[in-house]
Amino acid sequence: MEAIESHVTSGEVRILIERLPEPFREALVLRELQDMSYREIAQTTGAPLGTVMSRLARARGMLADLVLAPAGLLGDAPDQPMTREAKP
Amino acid sequence: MMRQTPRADRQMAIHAMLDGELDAMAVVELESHLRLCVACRQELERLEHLRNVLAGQDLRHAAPAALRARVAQMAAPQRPARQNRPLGAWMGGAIGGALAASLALLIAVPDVAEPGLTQAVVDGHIRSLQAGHLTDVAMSDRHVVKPWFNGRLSFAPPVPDLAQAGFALSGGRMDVLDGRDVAVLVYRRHLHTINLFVRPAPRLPLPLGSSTRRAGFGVEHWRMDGLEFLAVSDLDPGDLSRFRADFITTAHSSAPER
Repeated sequence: MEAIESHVTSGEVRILIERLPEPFREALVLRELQDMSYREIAQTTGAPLGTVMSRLARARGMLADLVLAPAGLLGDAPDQPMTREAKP
Repeated sequence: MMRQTPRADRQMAIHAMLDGELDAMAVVELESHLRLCVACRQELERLEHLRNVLAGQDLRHAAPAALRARVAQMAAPQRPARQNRPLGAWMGGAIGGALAASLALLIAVPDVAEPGLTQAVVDGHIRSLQAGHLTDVAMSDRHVVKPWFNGRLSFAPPVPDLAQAGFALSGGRMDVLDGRDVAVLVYRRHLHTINLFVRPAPRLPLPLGSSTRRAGFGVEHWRMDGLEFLAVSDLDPGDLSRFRADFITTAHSSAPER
């Protein structure tokens, strides 16, 4: 299996999280910091439960792609936010 | 090697398992699938690694002091966790909501993992065998062992009878983990002892479904019904995994008596 390595610093992680598009970051933070259940996040944000799950999965997926990326990629990362959520 | 992408529903199930949002039976089912599916195993490994990376960095000092103080104020004790509150209440203020959210996450994440926990339960297991203090209540009858914990703990650990599965209940005792009283159930398989540490699930718990080895001992970790379980033994890894699955399924099938 492919070895997973991380080359990011604390500051880079912070920048990467800041770049997550709002709905994804929102779901991630409500889950991780507020320890909200999926249902509570759905009630708070007004999003359907399935959307909450999808946003969490995508938020972590995007972060993992960047945090666990090979060295050198981070310096080339764009300043603008990453992929936006598809319009329903 | 290219990383394969799991099916979307499996992917969400893996996240739900890590978040403790998957019921015990679904966890057992997903674990069976994980044994067969390389893509899902890679995804699980990736997510656990991400969590480790975030937890392993000292992100508390990543934010300027003034911003940390502001975030700490927003997450003040008057607004405890597990309580619905308007999003704007802690995403607004002088800091933009987005920035506050990300900083708040960075301060919280290092508390997610407990790096010494595996070693602590292995030490507890060894100590119990060496000191001859394996059980406070030596009894194979779960209807005796379970009530024994009443009044000693603020929670009631499930005590399923796993004799038919080959894991004989031997008794229970009180122990201390991370400075708090925990229940320990003791099961035996042939000449092997299994110490099962049970405590209320922490607010920011460890990832679900971990299986590790340390100093020749296996440690299985899972969560169920608001409790956290850590099973330690020198059993073969496969037998210890089976103990975990049998414990979950039997505890649930005998739920009315728990």
